[in-house]
Amino acid sequence: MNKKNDLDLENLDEIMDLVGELLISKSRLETLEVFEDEGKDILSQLDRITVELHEKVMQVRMIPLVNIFQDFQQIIEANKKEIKLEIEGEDIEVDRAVINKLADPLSQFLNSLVSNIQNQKSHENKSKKLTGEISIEAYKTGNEVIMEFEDDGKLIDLEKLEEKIIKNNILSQEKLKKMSEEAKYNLILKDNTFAEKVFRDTDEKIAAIKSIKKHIKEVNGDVYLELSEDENLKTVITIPLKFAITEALMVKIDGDLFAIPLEMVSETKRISNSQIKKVNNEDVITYRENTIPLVDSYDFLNFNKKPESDSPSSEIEVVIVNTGQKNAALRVDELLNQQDIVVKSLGELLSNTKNIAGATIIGDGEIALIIDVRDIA
Amino acid sequence: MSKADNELSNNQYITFSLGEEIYGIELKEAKEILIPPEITRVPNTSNYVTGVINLRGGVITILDFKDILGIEKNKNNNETDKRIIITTIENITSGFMVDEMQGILTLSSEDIESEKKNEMKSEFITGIYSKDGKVIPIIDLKKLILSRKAMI
Repeated sequence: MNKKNDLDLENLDEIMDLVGELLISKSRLETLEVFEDEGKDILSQLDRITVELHEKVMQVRMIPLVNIFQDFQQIIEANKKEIKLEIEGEDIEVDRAVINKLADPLSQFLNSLVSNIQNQKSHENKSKKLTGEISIEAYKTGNEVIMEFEDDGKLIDLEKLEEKIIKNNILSQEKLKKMSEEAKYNLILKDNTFAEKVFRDTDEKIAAIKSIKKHIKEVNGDVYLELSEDENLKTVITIPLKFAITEALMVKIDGDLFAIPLEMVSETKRISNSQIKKVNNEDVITYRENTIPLVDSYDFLNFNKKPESDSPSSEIEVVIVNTGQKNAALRVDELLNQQDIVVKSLGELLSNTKNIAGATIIGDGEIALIIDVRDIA
Repeated sequence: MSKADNELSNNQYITFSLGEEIYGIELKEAKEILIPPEITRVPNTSNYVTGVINLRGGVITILDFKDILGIEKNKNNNETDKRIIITTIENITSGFMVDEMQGILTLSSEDIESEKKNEMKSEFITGIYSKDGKVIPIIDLKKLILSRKAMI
């Protein structure tokens, strides 16, 4: 149980959902072309009220990160080691649900960073004086809160990692050679049940990062690793700010309806088969003078592909998605409209489903799953 | 009747068929029973996940008992007899597909034999009711749900 914020979150979630549905009903009303002068006045009033209501409810949900960070100094002190902890951005606000879900996992993560520093320092330094540094920086970008955890503890053993990657045929030696050090570290975060088993016992730090990733994914966030200027491995956690309502592009795949959040979509395109090229046996297309991977949504979602026309002139529809670090083209059966959606969780049993971020209920009661493109390529 | 017998609690069980067998769960665990609405499949999930449904604006996961318990799927079951039992266990609301509803049994705890547990070879059976040639295993829903949760 979390005593840090005692507001009734369940009720708040329901209020949030209702406000979301209100907003969507309102925008459907607006598309009807039946309103005259007075009707339009009332409609614009309704618009102002619902938007303000939405903002207020959002504000109630937001609380500062200090609710997570306040325990961190105690964790350091409890370890009785000379570790300097620096925290920046305690006043950045995130959703209460995020605080609730991440407070304990992040404390544990800090704990394992501390113990990782200790293990290393006691190895290399027989004198009793153990010192280390951990810095945590939180900041906000357009629609994300980013938390960076940097520590000067022992790095993940890259040699051991590469050995395991090659031995278990996850990547070939040649491919591995071409990768940057940073990209190699990030391999441990790939979603792959096989890789999961291989890496888990390789390193204490890997286990800690893997376990934090699971919790971050639950709040639709992401984790990646970066090498800092001081050659420390930095764990970067991103958490989306927009929670309940988002704009999405609706698409049809194998007869089912799916939503792709617009913040991930750069553009939609119709391309002919002749524009599809092969690189390393993978489909690619050229987009704004770059070669980007073309991913078939049937593969992405594990659907059975039906035979199709591959004549050079026949056209396919693709969504160019942007995952922050890279672009990719996702091939879909049909592009539909754009609309506001209320993001709903798939519930505890399915919240970690690969490539699916949640669900939404559209006007007529049908469920559309929300595609998570972050692991697309 | 001894005093002890009076203190035995009577529990009610809801029974349903899965394939050719009949199973039961505690009545109090079932929140409602639905005629299956449209089910949206969810890609990249285990085979026991049938999909999700819209239940009054909430998205509810539907699981298939037969896949979890390893019961053979025969096609003789009538689609129109199928029902979904909605449960809330450990704050997780989910639905279970069954082939046909059977009825409600009131049993005292001594009617349930727990010794046979091992013969069933299933960790999710808490006990077995048998009388008049009928054998009804009782499913331990809490254990079953928690085991699915642990798998994610």
